[in-house]
Amino acid sequence: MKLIIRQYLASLKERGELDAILPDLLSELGLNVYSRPGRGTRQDGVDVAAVGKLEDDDTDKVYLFSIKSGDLTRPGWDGNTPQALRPSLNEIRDTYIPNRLPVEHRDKEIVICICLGGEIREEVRQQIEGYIRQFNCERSVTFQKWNGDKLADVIQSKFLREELLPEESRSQLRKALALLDEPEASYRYFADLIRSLGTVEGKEDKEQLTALRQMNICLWILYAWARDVDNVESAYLSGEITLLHGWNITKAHAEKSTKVSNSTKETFQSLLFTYHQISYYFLTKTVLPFADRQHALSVAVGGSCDLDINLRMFDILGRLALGGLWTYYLLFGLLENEADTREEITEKLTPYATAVKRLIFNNPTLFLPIKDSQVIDISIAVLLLMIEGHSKSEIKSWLDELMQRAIFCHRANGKYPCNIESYADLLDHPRRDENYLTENTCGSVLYPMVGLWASLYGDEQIFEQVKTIKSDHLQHCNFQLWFPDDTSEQHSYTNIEDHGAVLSDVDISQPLKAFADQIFGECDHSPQCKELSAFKYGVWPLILVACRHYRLPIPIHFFKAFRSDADSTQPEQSEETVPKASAK
Amino acid sequence: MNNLQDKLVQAHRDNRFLDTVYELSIRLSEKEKRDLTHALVALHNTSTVDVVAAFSMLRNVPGDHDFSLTRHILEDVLPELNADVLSVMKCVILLTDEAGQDLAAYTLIEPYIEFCSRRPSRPHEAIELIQKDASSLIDLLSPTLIAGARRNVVVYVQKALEFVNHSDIEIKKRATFSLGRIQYQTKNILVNMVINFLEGTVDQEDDDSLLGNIIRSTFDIYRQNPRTVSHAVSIFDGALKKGAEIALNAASEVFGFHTDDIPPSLLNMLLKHLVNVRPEHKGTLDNIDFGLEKLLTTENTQDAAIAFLEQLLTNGDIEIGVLDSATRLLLKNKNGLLNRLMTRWFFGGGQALCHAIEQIVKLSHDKNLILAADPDELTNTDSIRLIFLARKAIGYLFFYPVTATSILLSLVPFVKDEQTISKITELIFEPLLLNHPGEVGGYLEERSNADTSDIKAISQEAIQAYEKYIEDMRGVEKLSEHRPPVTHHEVFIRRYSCQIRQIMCEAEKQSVMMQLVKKSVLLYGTKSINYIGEPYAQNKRMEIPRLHNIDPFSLDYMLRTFRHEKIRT
Repeated sequence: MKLIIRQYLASLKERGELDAILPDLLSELGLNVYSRPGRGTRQDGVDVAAVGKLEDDDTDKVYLFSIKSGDLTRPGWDGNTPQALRPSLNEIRDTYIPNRLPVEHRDKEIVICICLGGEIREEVRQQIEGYIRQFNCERSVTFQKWNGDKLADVIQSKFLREELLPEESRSQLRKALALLDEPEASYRYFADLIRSLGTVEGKEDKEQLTALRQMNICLWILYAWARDVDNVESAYLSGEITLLHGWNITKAHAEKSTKVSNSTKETFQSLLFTYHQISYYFLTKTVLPFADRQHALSVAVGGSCDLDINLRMFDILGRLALGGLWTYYLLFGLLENEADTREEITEKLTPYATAVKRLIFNNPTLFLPIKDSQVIDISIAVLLLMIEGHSKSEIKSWLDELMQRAIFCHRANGKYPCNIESYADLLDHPRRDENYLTENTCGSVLYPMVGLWASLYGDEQIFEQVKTIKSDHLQHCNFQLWFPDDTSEQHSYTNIEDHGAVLSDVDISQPLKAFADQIFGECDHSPQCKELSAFKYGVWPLILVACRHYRLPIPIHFFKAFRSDADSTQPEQSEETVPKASAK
Repeated sequence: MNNLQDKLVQAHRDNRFLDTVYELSIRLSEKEKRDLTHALVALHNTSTVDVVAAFSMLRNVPGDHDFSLTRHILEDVLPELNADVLSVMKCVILLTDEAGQDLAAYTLIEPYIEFCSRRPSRPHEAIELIQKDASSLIDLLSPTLIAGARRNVVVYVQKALEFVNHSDIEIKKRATFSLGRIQYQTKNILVNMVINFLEGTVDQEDDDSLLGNIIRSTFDIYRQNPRTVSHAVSIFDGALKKGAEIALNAASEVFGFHTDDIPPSLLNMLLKHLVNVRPEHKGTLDNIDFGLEKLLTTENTQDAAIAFLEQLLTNGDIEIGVLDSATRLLLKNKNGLLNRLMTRWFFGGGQALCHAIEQIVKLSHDKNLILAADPDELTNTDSIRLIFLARKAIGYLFFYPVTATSILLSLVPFVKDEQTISKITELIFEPLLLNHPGEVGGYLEERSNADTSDIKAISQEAIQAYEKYIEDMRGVEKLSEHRPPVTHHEVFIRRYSCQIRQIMCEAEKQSVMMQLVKKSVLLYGTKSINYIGEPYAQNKRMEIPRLHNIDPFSLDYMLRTFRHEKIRT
């Protein structure tokens, strides 16, 4: 296990990776972290600062960490790079200790910790020893070297020791790492691990916090290893499930302000950060550079048949759009109080929205889902494009094409969207057996959602196409929409049980405006959506992650904000669920 | 000779007469065969052996002595025999029936006619016998009348006409048939009487077989006396209007086997009716095919043939593939005939005709058949119609991409604006080159090295666009994240193997090949090393369209659109 952890530590980068896990590690060791790494702010050589007693200490000490990734080499010690260690240590000596050390800790003994993911190379060992001797002559500080080996020891003894992480869970982690080249299997083992760690009912808050930290560190280990084998698919999926289970633990602490609750919230932020790292890596490595190239991503799938391409491309679409929505969420949070917020958000969102549009138009398989449930990915993409606000014509063009193709497929017995989820059965779709159509198109969320989006744009033509497909081919099909219910909060993040309620037999035959009134009116009768903790505590993209990961339709509350007041005959003012950037 | 007769007599005594005749027939030279014939005649006419009775014992039994060869001896002998008419008639009927569906089944009829015509009493006696026992002997009515007419044409034509008025439809049919076979020599009055009679019969009769015989006889009479053409046209028209598939088949025989003898007025009328042929009537279609091939090769009938072909293909469910002679002729593209049809039919946009072009190209042994738009069909054509034709070529010839590309490139000299040139280039790139880079790429390379500046530029531009497309793919092969799960691949392979197994089993059941060769299972290796005569084998390749997996819907949808779109007038 230690080798696994060391390998993981050695592969971490300094910024955003090694410094991201250290605070949790120190907290778990019993130290009080009073300074965390931050971007853009002056560090004066200190990446993480903590105070307290470690196992061998008699008194409280101040621990100042200067972090370097990988092995420490000559350039890493005293090169011309801004990340060189010696200049950082000089800054600690010259600036941090005299000026920035908190007053309450000035009487405490200071320990400067050289923290490395790897080892100190032989070539610089003498120079470091010399520097430490010279430093000690000037001031009464001590030095400690926290190399990869020591960090691995700490992680193993504090996070992953037998009492905290039973052998079965360790085995799951090892299997998840070993099978990274087969992401489906790797994810399955990791998800089992997360589910077992996430089962915290009846446990103390402190134990819950430890579980959350374990989740984060395990995810980091998986991610670091996944990068090494050049396949982060399992890490992406594992990131989603870890985040959701992590929130399931954290939400209970959202309104508490005890020390443990605050640490829990901070750890969740770390976990969220890890998730974003993975998601960003996945999208920038495997999607964004190829989205504007014709057929490139379809070719990348390299599947046995067109079904593989269709399934994967809608999956990619959902992930890309979700990445855009998280970006929007993060930017909105950062810039909330600034005057030109919306303009800036729109600008930052544009690359994602553009990539989504290019992805669709360069990979035509995205013009028609084979599974009705792929409406989930379509919904996330439409939501992003609506928020971005400059893609009305593209959305309409996409939906129009989708409906045309669906109608055509029904007429020509092509691969129309169906309710089949089994891959083997999808390979045979569509068959011409008696009752095949009625059995495999018994319900649809896709078409009412298209009708809903048509209503938001007042597009009678697309709405008519939805009516046509219903009247000409799918009279037997139950058009339906999903709403969260009272049990959704309990199960949304873990998916242990089915939850939510369905508005059944949605009447598409009525006029467009009446249809929209009916659907959005139902939102008012379904207030449970806004009561979901992710909404309540401002992390609404978690709902989208949950819907994407557990394959549940996106609540239509997300789209209500895009209904202009003029379109509504409802007496109440519509309340925005998601803030609009510049919805048009 | 006597020796031969002795052998035959002895064989007759030993009940090995027919076996001996057969053995002698295959062993003897032509001259000796003649001796055999004479010997048989002599034996019969001297009442030594009843040859007719002996041959009446001949049976068509597989594995026994050869039925046809043995019967062939009788064909030579029969006219010379002094035999009882009834026994000859029974023997002829029996041996004709025994022959079954054999093409040579009726070869005894002419010797029978010759036998009857040798003595004036024989036809008369035969007719009396037929009238007494029509159910058994009716098949010999026509030959008997023909034989009689050789002795006395007036009398036996009169008898034939009487029989045409008979109440029994079978007698009517046979009598009608005989009217065409009788040689009228210079007796114009008699011919006029018969032709008028047939014209009247057409008005009165509805039986399809009878109408078919009227058509055959009318044409035979016309050939003997071309002045009857106007009557012939009228009779054909009447018979084909009232008749069904048998009448149409008779007309198709006339069309297919006597194409050069058909006068224009009759040809036009025939073509008007022959377009009504049904796809299931293979024999009729074969006859039409022979006639059509001849018309297409003749300059002054080519337009009529094309018009007929267009109507035939447009009318119903007939595919051009069934007209194999005509298709082979078109594939030769002599004087640009196929180019002309392709251009005209794609411009027209009619599905049946466009599909016919696809079928013709499909039947070509040359997968890279080169076609070009016919300049005569392109005069005053605007760019919309040129692009329309280009899209039709792609829609129907997508799986023959070099042929489609050759058509698109042939349009270039007729394009007047850059925008249309760009559209043609785009169409060559996608879907043709993009889906068939091997075949189309090779063809474009060839054209870009050899052609005029416009075509060279377009070929190079399309190739460059493809190279850019491939360049854009660089790096995607490393994206292991997007690979489908291993489980999906395994499911796919299992299903695919299962399908292949089923297809193989079905194919083996129907395979003639598997009846000729043995099946060998190779346990190791990827190929089998065999030496069969020729030291080399032809390498057949098939390129799977790139979009087949990437986006089959768009490909299918695009091809369907290209096929079905029409120009609004």
